Amino acid sequence: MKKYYGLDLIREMSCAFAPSGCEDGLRDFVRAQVEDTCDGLTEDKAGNLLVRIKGRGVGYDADKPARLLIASHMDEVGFMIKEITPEGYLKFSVVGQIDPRVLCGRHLRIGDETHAVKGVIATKAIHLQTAEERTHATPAGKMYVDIGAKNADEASKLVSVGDYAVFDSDFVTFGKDDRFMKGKALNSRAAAAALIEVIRDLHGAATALPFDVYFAFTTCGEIGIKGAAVAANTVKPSLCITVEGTEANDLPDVGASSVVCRLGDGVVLPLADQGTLFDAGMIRATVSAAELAGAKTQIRRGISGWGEAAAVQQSMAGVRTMELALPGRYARTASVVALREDYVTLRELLKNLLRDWKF
Amino acid sequence: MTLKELIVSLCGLMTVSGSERSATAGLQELIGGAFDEMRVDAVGNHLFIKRCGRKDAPLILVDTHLDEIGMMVTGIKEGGFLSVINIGGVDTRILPAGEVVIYGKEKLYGVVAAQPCAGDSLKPIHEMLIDTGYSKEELEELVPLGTPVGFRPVYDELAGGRLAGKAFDDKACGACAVFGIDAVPAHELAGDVCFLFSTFEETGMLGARVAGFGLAPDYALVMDVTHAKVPEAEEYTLSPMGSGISVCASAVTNRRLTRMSQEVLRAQKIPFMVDVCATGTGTNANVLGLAGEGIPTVLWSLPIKSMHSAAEVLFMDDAKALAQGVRAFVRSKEIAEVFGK
Repeated sequence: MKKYYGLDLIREMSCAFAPSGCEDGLRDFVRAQVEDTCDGLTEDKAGNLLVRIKGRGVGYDADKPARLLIASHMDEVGFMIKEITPEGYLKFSVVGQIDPRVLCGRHLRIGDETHAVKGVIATKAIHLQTAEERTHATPAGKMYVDIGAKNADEASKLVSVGDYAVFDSDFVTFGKDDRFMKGKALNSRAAAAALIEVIRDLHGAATALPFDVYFAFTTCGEIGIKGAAVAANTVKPSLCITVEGTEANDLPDVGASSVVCRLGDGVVLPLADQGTLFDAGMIRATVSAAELAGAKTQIRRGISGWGEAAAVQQSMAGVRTMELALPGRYARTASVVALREDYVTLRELLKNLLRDWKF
Repeated sequence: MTLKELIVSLCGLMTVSGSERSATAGLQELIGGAFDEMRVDAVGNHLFIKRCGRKDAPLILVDTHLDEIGMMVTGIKEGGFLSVINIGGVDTRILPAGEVVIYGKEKLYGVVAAQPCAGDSLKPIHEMLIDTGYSKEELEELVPLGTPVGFRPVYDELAGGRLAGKAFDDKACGACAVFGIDAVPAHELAGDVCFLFSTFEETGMLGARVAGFGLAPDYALVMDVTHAKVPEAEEYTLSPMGSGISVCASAVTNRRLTRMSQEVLRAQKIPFMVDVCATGTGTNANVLGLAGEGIPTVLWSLPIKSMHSAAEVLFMDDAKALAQGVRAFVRSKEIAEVFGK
């Protein structure tokens, strides 16, 4: 398979069809991107891809090597088809947390990673809406997808109950000097793309690390069942960094004191989420390393979300864990917006951290 | 160019009400070749005339509206965001996380901000923001207040010959009109044909009223989209997709012309159904009948779903029926004999 780099890599990953529980295609893609530049690849029974970079540097204990786990989830929010109506429309369940307000009128791909048909989430025309409907979100359970079929028979030839669907959203760069990116699943997939680029960099690096690094591309990060916990049980790391997307709300109608993080202010360091408090020592070390390297970081001023880090932290007898996140606006919509500079900052900060990390 | 290609090309043009003139060059290129004359009138109506070659021939008007619903920039905010107001009836439910094009001094791409807010209420459109990726200062240079904003044109072919995308209302009917008229050799036309791409339908049917007065045609065929039957609107009687042309029965259209147009369709075996809009049609037919000294008018409609969204859905078989219907209508000697001068 062709190797992708930088923006092309982010594009390919953003456009991949991989909702929670349907990560096979993306896992094969990631495997192909890193298989020539690592010291070992395994897939575990939870569907995680584990990529090993072996340590060799000064102080490396070959018998009992220290292990660092860096995890990023592969999956995205999406939909599962639960019913084909007599008229040939598809009713769906939401996979992951999606605000129903971002669904009406969106284009979808329905099927799986190898074969998908196109559809749109239908919306009753404004002329036919009641006053209540015009001002309130339609619940997802009342929506349906139009794939063009005229009845259930025609629809059943194209789609089966249990099929997945994802937003059909192309990757776009826009804004001044094309600094901004738009795509589905964009900031979490860009975070995973950063891991791929770090793997390649480590593999070619002149100075080897004094510890083993396991990169885990995990499953089901969006639905609360964390593949990352399984990856931690397998790797048994001394430390873990989860690398994620996080929602930025730096909009002019959000009061400054309510803004949790901003595009352009660099890598986001959450101190806590709804699942846990992260390792303060690791966060301090990261902030110092970032200052030395001139990499922008920002502390997240909010505790929303429930990322993979908590699951890893509570695996085995406990693992020291922190999270690095790429800020993105309109998370879990068809049009996540992120900044290219923030991606580069994340990638370079990860490289710096690995080079200088003292266990 | 196939009918589907013409539909996608025409509907992809930005023609938000009030900005129709920005499409003149595109229209000239796409459809100008099918007509003998083209002109733009005082309010932005685009008129295309195909002559039959006979003196004192009747003038047949075929009207579809050129304008589409959209937005207009009302403010530039810190951080590179625009505030907007709707032009025509924009369905705000489809806006959050939707993609738009801002037609300023340069064409800019934008995403409608989808910031979570409490409860299940939707923000009114004037509180929504468009994310542009430019600074406030840059936007002040590039995007004058009043700049039109349109949905990003994205077209998807669905199964079974359905097409999804923006602005089928009403340029898809325009494409059918051009296709139908173009299929008739000039000497077979029942009269001179004026194809009117009218303005401001979405904001009050101003264009058709003015053009009707100016042209004083002998009779008129108006074509617009109508709501196709959808499951969540059972209280309305709507045309099922796949029924062909929806011929409107209404007090505001001409009864005899309506019946004769049905005969024409029947004779050509073109599928149609009758769609009842008893006292008003919500289309240019409302105003054309009373324009100037009065114009006998018939309304044919194309059923689409999710009207006024960026993902309207049409059925190509219905569009083809409409194009065939136009071809038959402008050839009809019977209609010309009754309604011509």
